[in-house]
Amino acid sequence: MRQTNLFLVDDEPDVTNSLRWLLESVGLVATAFNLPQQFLQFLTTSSGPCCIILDLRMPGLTGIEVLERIISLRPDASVVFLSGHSDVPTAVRAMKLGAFDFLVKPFNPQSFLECTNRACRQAEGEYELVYRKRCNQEALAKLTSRERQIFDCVIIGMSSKEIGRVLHISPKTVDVHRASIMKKMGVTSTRELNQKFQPVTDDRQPAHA
Amino acid sequence: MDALVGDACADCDGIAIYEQVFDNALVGICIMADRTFIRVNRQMETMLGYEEGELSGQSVHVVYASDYDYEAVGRVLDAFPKDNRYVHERPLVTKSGDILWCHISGTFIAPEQPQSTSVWIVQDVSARKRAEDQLTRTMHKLEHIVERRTLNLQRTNKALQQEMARRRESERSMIESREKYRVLIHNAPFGVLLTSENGEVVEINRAAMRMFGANDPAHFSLIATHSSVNRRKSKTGLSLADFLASMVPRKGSKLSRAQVVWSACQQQPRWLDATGVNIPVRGLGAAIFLEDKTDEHAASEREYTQREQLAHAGRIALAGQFAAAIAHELGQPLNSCQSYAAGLENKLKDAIAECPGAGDALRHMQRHLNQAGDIIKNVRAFVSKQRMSDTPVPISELIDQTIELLQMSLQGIEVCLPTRASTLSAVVQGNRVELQQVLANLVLNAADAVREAQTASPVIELKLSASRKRVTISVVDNGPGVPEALGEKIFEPYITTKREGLGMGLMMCQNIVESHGGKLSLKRSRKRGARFDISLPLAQESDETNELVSR
Repeated sequence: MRQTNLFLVDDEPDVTNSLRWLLESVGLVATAFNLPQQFLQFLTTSSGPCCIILDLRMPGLTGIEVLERIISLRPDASVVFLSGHSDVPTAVRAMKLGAFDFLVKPFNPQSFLECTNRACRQAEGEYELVYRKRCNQEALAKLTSRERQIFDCVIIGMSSKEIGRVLHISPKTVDVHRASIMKKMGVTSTRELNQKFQPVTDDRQPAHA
Repeated sequence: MDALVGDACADCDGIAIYEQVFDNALVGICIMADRTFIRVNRQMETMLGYEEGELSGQSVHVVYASDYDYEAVGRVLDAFPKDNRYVHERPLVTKSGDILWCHISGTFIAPEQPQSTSVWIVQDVSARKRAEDQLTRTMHKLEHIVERRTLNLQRTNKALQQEMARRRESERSMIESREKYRVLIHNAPFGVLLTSENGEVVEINRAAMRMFGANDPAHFSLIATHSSVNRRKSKTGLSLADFLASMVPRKGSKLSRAQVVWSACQQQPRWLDATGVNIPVRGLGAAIFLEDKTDEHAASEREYTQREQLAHAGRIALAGQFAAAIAHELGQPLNSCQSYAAGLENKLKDAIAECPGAGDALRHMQRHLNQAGDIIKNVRAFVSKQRMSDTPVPISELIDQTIELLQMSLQGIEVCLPTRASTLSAVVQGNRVELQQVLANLVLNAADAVREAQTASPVIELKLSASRKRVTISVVDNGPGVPEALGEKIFEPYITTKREGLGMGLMMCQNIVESHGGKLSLKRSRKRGARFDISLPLAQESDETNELVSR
């Protein structure tokens, strides 16, 4: 499991400093940014799970605009919104765009820490999902086109005989391809293969269909 | 013997008598033969200025005034009239050459012999002739006079006819102008009254009668004496009749004006503007024009009340926003304090446990901080409860109403309003009073800026631009602009460029705009002046969020 990157984005150093101190006290390391543009620039090159504490009011860009940019750059990131206002429409907008939570200042430090923790957990989960997806996609890219055809059939539970009939090849040839696929995907059984790839192919139709 | 003597004597005496008659006749008598005098009596000789017997034997030619007369008479004699009478009047000439008009009558003794002896009687008729001439001349003169008089009479007659035509024409035009004025006065949409010199109403039009609820002029005069009028400025009261009398302009002035309120029992009071104009006609006083301003008055009353209400709502909203702004500003340092305190508690857990009382102190501190936080939350809750619920606000309406509201404060400044129809239809969801306040604040700031800098031909321009999701109202002025060093700091509390500013306006504006999901920003431009952009989400999006909230 990779360590979650925690970011504090607020134009007020007073806010970022005090929150960094608070997070530090429970062993969380946060990087502070006082300029949203600078942070967005940084985000394009970052990797790993990502949790962002974002203040709504910032010069140049509003919190909502920054949120939109973050989501487009890193859909897996968890964003906790801080606001001096308790206005419902903005909160709703933020949540609808995919914010993790919305805290109105002054908030209880304890609930802030809890919220941050939950956000980090979610960020990790999301990142894991994205990471796996990416790994699988990289592995899939290694398959030949014939192997890909057979992979798609295997994943929906077809036997070698059925596959051979459909693709007009002998079940033996199918088995040879299957062995090659297992090797390339780094799995030892069809069950393992199914477990690993179910989410990736969920939204895909088999190539031959 | 006597008889003889008598006979002889009688014979002699007979001739002698004739001789005597001949010689002593008072008329001229002559006997002529072949146009030659044979014998001329004394009277005739005297008449023609000849000596006794001088004419005898002379041709008659000598007594004619001209050869023409002589010959003319000769021709007449040749064809002597049958009755043997010749009577005519001719001018004869005396020996000394004077002309005598004579009545001449003659007869032939033997008419069958034209050369025979003839007897002529000549009477001097010069006097009569002169009188006749005189008479003729007089008659001619008279005729001339008559002629002249007739001519004069004709002329006079013609002139008279012309005069009559002119009179008819002027009478027609008089009737025409009278009718014109009558129709004008009686159908004028405003009240018209004509008064006599001493201020009595002599004519009143329909509009004026309607104004006072009168059926006819008599009814009106009754109303005039029994209803009262108050001058709007001096508040003095008098009867309508007295008031109308007072509207006759004083000597030396042409006009008199008054603004009054007329009231009578069972009638709505009427606000009237009266103008009296002198009529320069003997016997007439003034024409009084009455304009009914009741509706205008009611409208301005209504407008005043609305403005008052709006101002009141504005003040309440201002107080709310002020509280909200303070709560917002306090929230941040308080939050920092709480964060530091919690951090300290976590980090120094062991040290605090060792130091007696430190844990309590830290907890007290946190309790008080939480208390302060609760106060802020309460204030915010109170303010948001005060806030009216959001409604769709058409942007163009918002701009128009705001500018209208500020009209007095914008005098002398040119205000350019947005005209692009595509952006004018933009609608946002929000609190109208608050949004109006933001716009008013920005516009008034701009007005203050151009005034303080005494900008020549100051202009405040309102621009609109819209994208798919947002609409932006820009307030641009040509004043000195925001000092470079201030920049975004202008939105912070207690920052002001005005001599008497509190430095709260823009902060509150920013709060309001942000609470609407929008953004208020200061735009840098190369041109002179300042530009503030209010960017707000369009209403459709807000509708979606509302749906989400209701879910």
